[in-house]
Amino acid sequence: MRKKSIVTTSIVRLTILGLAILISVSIVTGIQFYNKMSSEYQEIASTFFKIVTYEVDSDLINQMVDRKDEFANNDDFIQKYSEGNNQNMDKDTQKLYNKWLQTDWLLYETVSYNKNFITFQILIPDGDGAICLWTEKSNDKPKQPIQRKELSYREKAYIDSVYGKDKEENSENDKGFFLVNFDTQMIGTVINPIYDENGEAIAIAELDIDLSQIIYAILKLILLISVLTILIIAFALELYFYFTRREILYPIQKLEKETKNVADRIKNDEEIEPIEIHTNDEIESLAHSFESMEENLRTMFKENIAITSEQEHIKAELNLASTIQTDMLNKDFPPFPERNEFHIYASMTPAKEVGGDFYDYFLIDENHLALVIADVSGKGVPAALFMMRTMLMIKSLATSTLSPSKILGSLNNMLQENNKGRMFVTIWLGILDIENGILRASNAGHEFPFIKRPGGEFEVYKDKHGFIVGGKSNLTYKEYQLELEPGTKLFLYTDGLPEAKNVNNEMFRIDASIDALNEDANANVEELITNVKAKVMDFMKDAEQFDDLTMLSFEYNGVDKDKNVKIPKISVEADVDNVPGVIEYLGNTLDEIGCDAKAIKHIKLATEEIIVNIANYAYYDYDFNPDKPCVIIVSGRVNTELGEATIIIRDNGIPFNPLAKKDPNTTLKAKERKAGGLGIFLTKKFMDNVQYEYNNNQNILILTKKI
Amino acid sequence: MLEVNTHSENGKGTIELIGELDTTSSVEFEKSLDGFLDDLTDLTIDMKKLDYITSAGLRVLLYIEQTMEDQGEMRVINVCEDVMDVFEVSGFSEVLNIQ
Repeated sequence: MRKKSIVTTSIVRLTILGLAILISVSIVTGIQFYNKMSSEYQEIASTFFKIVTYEVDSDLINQMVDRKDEFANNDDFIQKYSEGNNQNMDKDTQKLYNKWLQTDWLLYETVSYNKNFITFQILIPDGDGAICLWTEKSNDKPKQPIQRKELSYREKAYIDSVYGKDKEENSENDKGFFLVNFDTQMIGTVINPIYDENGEAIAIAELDIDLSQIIYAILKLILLISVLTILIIAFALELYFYFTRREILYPIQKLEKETKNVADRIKNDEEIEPIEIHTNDEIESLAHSFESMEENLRTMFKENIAITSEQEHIKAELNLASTIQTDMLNKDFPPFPERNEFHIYASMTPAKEVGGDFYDYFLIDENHLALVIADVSGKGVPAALFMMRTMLMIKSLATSTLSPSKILGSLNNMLQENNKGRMFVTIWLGILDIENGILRASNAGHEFPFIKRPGGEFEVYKDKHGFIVGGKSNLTYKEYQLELEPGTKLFLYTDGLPEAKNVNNEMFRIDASIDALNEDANANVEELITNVKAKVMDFMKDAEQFDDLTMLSFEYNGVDKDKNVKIPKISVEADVDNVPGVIEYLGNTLDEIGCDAKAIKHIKLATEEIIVNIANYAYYDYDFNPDKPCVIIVSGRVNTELGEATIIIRDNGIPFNPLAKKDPNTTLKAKERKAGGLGIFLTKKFMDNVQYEYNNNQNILILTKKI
Repeated sequence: MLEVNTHSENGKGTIELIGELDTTSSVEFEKSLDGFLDDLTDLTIDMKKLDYITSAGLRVLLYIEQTMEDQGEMRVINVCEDVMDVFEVSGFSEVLNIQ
């Protein structure tokens, strides 16, 4: 993932540094050497020139200068001299010539003294050019007598600066030196003036030195120095690297490696191995920092997991509590569609942390409806479980008594038995005699119910309060009776309604609840609840809902006596002999009411099959007690509006559900047919609906048929 | 309430049922058949005046049918609508030879 490496960068940088050092050293060395060498050569040249000056007679030069034209331009003269033929010369010229020759020879010797000297010339400037008195080359000696030559620009410049001046004037700058690149040869030219006895410059001595040797030597030196420098630098680098690697790079790489997988190690909960870095410097302490950082991360991670896990548990518990609570509550509306004597609607909106509110409604028997609303103390799963227990106990207790106060009394004691959690519950319990509209109710520490009489408005019914249930054992509860006229409405709720809070911590209150209902007091049971809920939600707005909002609305329509004709019950001992009598009675009553003849036949058949069955089997496997015989009670009603007859057959024999029997196979041939099960089968076939219940120690069979 | 009229001659018999074949009367009816079916090879049950039958009645008919199957032939005639309903629902309309 990283684009660079310390190692590579370091190598690159150090290499550049090395090269810089190398180049600098080389250049400096080269320059120094060059300067040294050139000054050396200048010294040599100076010495040479001194010798020359000593050996060259200035008088001779003067004479040569005076007779230069003669020497310079006379070919014949030149020829003669070049042949060495001095026969035709006059004595003075001869003498001059011999002297020239001598000097020439001396100069030659001197030049040859150093193999790097190429040419030596003595020049006498003459206008733009110069007369060259002697020219000596070191490796060959073609004789070149006096000749004229052109001056180069530099020679001219030098001459101008020096010539004609005396020694003292020139002492500072009389030594001239310049480089001439002659083809591939580097040539250095040294020029010195030649002074006469008076110290006046009369001629120029020019020495060309072959510098190629020098250059060669310089290059060799530079090469040597370079190689040496490179070696030294390489060695130094290597040494530097060795230590750097050991002390910095390796530890850092190690650190990099060790810390690369921190996240994975923490996740997999692998032990960290201590980082082996013992450099005793910042890196080691960095490594330790990393180690302790990883430790900290690990701890934090574990703590985080624990916290998250705990939060998950809490969430799961809340979900469970919520599920328990919501699953227990009936939510199918209308709950008893076939009963038009009343309407029920209820809703429970749980708070974030469910609170154990519940409502319940159930038919204890044909004619008795139980209504319950309750509020369990506490929250969460314990409250939900307590709520479940309470609900089930109430249902169970209601099978043995129709008295709410007795139910609550028993409930209270039963709940106290296993109440380690010290939970309690407020309950309002009502049991309604549906036919007669008589409501028996008992209030154990619960909110006042709201009641709306026909033609009136909702108002608070301040019933007497018993103590909360589950608080103290052996309490007696009181109950009261209300006569409900058809059209009466009841509204039950828990404290989540009046105590609903808004952001200003104000409560919704009872008045607002009543007002919300009375805004449309004639609404149906569902609408009443929707209206109140809307008002509460609007009041709460963004405030958090702290408590469950539970409401149950109930409307009593009464029994339409005209439309519902009762079949007065008839009860006989469970004996086959009694059957015809019951069936005849049933048939006559239905006939009087005006039922269809065919329907009557079917009803008679179905009823006969059932009660014959009861008579035959009710005592089966049963300890027959003559003081408590098995009794069959047949009753029912006919709803002339709906055109429906309902026959209810009760017996107190052994619990037996005829519907649980398998139907006989009606496709079998005669020989294969079995005798049993046919009666119940016919009943099921001829009735529109057959329902079985075991309640109050009674088998209850409800047959319905459209007539 | 049931009235039973029986008649047999040379192994050919008829039974006429009048009234209701309910639980009680079915028991009596079965009792009264004792011996009647023994030598029959052909039996006709006339239900013209029978307007009610229960499972007990079906049981007796089944008994008669099973007996006659080994001995010969049997048929049920003049079945009224209500009784026919019961026969059909119970599957007896396939078991009995209804004409």
